[in-house]
Amino acid sequence: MSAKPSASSDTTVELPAAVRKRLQTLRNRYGRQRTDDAGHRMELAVNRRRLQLAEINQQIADLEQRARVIRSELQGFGKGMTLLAEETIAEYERAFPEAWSPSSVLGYRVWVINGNGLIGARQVWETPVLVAECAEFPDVDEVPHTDNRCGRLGCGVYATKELKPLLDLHVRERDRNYAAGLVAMEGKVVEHEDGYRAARAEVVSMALIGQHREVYTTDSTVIAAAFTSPDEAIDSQWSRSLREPVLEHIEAHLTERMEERWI
Amino acid sequence: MDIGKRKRVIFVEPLKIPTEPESPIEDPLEEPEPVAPSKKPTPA
Repeated sequence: MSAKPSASSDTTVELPAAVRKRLQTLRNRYGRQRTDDAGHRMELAVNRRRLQLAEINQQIADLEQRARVIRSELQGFGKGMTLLAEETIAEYERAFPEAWSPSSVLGYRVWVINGNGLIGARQVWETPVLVAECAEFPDVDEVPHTDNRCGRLGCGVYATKELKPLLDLHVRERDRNYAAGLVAMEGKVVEHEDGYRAARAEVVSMALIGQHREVYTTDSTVIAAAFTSPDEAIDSQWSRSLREPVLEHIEAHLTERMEERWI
Repeated sequence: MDIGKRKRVIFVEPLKIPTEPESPIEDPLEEPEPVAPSKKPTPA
């Protein structure tokens, strides 16, 4: 469907009324003259220009109409894109539940005393605080990653929800020279069925088991000293003779503080 | 130890209780100068 062209007033090319009237009178009286033919050809040329201009005006009207349709379509696309984005967000939120907590998430870890340091599953803990770094994608935010970019296990500081399965897996009653601890996790914490991966973890309670002596503590100074030099901590004033059964004492100590209170 | 399938993400942001007042303590206002009593014409 063609759009109606807007009326244009610049297509009128007419002789002044007095000139036109006089010319008509003379034509009627004496017939056409030679110069009159040139005037007629000029009239034809004017008519051709009028038709060309009318065609151009029609094209302009069609283009304006098309532009209006496209503008309307763009507005529709904008609304559609917003709705689609909101639907996608809802889908993400259904598939990947998120929660917020003002208190730390607690979990359990074990370390081995080796070379006067406490060694976790992958690295030495030089202090009671460990901040996660992704070995595969160190420059990408959102550690620990949750888009499977860094493999099945994923990055982050690991901790378990339950202490007993962790102890059963890693230590036996007669084992010595290890530590078990309760860690408070902060930042982005990814909850799994049996444990967590956290952006940051800090040891808040620990049991340091030496050959003949032990340290059970929730004191941050003692915990820091244990990570600086576990051997010295075991020989320090904070230690006492080893009590058996060791694993039961560890469980009693670490499970005492399961949840931090909300402020 | 395998910690199993992923369940959800928890964002832990401990609440921080401010230890200092947010706005600086304002200087005490200067005492206004005493105003002299107006001298009204005493009726005769």
